[in-house]
Amino acid sequence: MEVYLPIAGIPVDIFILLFLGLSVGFLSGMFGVGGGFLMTPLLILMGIPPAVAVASEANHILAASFSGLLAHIRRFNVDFKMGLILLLGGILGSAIGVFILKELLSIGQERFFITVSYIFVLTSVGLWMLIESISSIQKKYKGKRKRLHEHIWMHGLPLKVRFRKSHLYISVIPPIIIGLLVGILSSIMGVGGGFVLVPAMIYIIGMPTQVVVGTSLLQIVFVTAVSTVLHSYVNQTVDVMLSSLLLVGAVIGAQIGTRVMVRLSGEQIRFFLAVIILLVAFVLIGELIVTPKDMYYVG
Amino acid sequence: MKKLFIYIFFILLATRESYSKDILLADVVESNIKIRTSFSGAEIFIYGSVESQIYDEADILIVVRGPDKNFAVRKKYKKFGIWIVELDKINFKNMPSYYAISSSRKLDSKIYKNLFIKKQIGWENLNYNENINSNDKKRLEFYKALEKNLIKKGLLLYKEKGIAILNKSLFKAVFNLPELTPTGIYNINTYLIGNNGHLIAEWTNSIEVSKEGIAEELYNFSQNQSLMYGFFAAFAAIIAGLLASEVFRRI
Repeated sequence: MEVYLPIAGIPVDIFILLFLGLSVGFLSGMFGVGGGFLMTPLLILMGIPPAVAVASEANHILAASFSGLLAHIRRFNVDFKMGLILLLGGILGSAIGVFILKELLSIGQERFFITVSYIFVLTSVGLWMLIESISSIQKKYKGKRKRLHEHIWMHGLPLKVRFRKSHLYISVIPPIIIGLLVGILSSIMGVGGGFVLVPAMIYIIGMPTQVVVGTSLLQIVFVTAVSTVLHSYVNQTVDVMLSSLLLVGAVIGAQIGTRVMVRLSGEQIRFFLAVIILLVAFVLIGELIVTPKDMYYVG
Repeated sequence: MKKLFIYIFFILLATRESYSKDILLADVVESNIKIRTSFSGAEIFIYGSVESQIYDEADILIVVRGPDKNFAVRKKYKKFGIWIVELDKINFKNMPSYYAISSSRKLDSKIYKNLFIKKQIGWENLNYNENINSNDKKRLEFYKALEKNLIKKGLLLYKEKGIAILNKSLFKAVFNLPELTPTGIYNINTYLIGNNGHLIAEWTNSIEVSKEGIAEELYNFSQNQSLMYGFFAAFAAIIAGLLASEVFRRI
């Protein structure tokens, strides 16, 4: 059954969209990630204009993360103070991203830019996760343990604030910058940015793991909300029809995924996720190299 | 029902012809076409009559032209093994967003050339001086690329012998409108052209193509009230997220 996506301007099979939502939702439930970094490239490969894929996926992530955020708030797993600081950068970053996309659209370069951004981010995150997961699987066999806390350069920065929930006394500059970068990334690539934000919060800011996911969801909810409004206002690229159809599949998929997760260990999960991420990056590289069917871009 | 409706019109036209002196008449079955976005496109149904003595030495040609649009075409090129879209573009202004031609016979382009240029009939004759007559090779190349692009989308159609003739006097033609057809006023020009290349008669109709259904409303909302649409999209997502979490908390 075909459904016409009004903003994307193309008809698509409704079951393909539901299936896509279901599978990405399943993976995101299983791996505890938003799934935007998988969904957006798949939408682009399906033939949806990249700018529309990015903006609609931001809208979809807003819905998916909001329910996640509620669950974490109920369990008191959110550091609101840290979330607020991250958001200062995040909202600004989201606005910057939307305007970068507007410029790219006006010169017809958005497809290239979005694809290259994906290849760059997916390959680096994928490789890093792959190496990290393999080495920790090996360490497990040898019985070695990681050091708990390390002191790095950022602990010398000014504007220090106490974050009770995270048991931290650190400068606000790193969270603001991390928020800003993730905000830009989020609105240009149509991702929540959890796959960058979560490691950054653990390894750079040094937050305890139990508040990381909830706090990152807080940032993701607000940043994608701002992205949704700005993408709609500035570029008219949010397709509500697309995002809501994806959501239906994703919600169900996520519930199934969450139940499967328990059977795998943390390292195994990270290893499989890394493989999937690298696979998507590989397909995108192919998109850039393979001679296009249509040698012209009509706008 | 639609068929019956058309038959009645044909009968009316046929009886009318016996005392009428009009050599060419044409009309559309529906002058307000609504594309239901849940189905695949719609059709423009045109029928008419022509004086049968004249038909032997003449051809019928129908041109359907959608609302004007400006196009920008860019070429892709390879650099360091990667395909990149060129920054330079060529603009084609005031081109039809939908363009379809149907004729009763195969037309000899040599004979009709002057008339076609004058009336801007055929893709190669639209804005002739600006597009084809300029000696700009790149412009010509890009113009062809735009043509291919529109054909692929079903927005540019050529149908030789696409007009069905009954008894040398009654004719009908059908044009398909794909789902992504732009909305607005469509002009339908029906020409009766002599075999010597001269225009015998011309008839003009216009129809309005609109889309209905939720998709179209969303589209208009997003274009006309972008900021409100943005807040709506964000709000709807939050409500959906809330609902999802409530539903699954209970399962």
